[in-house]
Amino acid sequence: MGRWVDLLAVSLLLGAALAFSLGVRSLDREEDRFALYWLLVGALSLKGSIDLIRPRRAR
Amino acid sequence: MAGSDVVQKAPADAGRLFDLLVPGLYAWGVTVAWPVSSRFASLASRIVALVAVVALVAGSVLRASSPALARIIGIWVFLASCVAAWSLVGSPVMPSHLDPVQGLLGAVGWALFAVGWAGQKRIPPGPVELAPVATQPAVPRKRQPRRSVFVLTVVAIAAAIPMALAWWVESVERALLAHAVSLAAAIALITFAADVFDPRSRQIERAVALVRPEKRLLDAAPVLVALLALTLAGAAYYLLR
Repeated sequence: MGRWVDLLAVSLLLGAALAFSLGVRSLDREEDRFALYWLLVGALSLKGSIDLIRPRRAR
Repeated sequence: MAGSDVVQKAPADAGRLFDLLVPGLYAWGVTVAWPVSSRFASLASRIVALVAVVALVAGSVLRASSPALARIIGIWVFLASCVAAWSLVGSPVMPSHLDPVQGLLGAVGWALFAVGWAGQKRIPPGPVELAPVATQPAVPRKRQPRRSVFVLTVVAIAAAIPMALAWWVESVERALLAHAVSLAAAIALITFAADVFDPRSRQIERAVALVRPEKRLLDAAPVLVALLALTLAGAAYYLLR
């Protein structure tokens, strides 16, 4: 189970990078709403990854 | 003896004042004085720019006598005044009006300003107590496992993608925002990934190992639920539009 949680955290980290890339691409296409959406998704993915790898109980 | 101390201290103080003042004046001159001296700049922007330079000089002079107050005035009041001047001056500092060479020179100036103020280490007032000499031999660092090197490399490449994409943004204002966002994202991703696999975080790792996976999921649940809701909302919007 612990290994799966680690895998989920790494996937979220890579997902955050992908979301930031999509956000930048949306900025290029002048789609501000989508850019904001993807940047928010990226930020939440990154935060989720941090919370999984470094749970508050362990900090 | 005291006389020679005074003689030695005076050039040192002058040098430190010079180190703090010159980079700040240069950055201010290139990035603030230039736009506020334009014909269309408002009076308010000029006054705030003047406040900035006064704050810089006051902060630099106060550095020796009152370091904490000097940092507040020399860094924060100075920076706030510069930002206020930029916001009041308006169009001359819009990205489309910026000259790349001047922008680069300004960036160098601000970097030197940051180095000048960051170089001042706090010296404890009393005699320095030396740490006891370690009786046990230092343990050599463990080699990083291949898994961590692989993940770190993948994260670094993934973090570089938004930065590369930002160069393709055509609109000047959007390109600036894209570069800022992609740089911030890359720093956040790499910092976090490096922190996870840093040998110094072994202690935290041991603490994490004690936390059950279910509890870890529970800790991250609010963020994961928000992420899921956002993803579902995005998917619904994409399907319904």
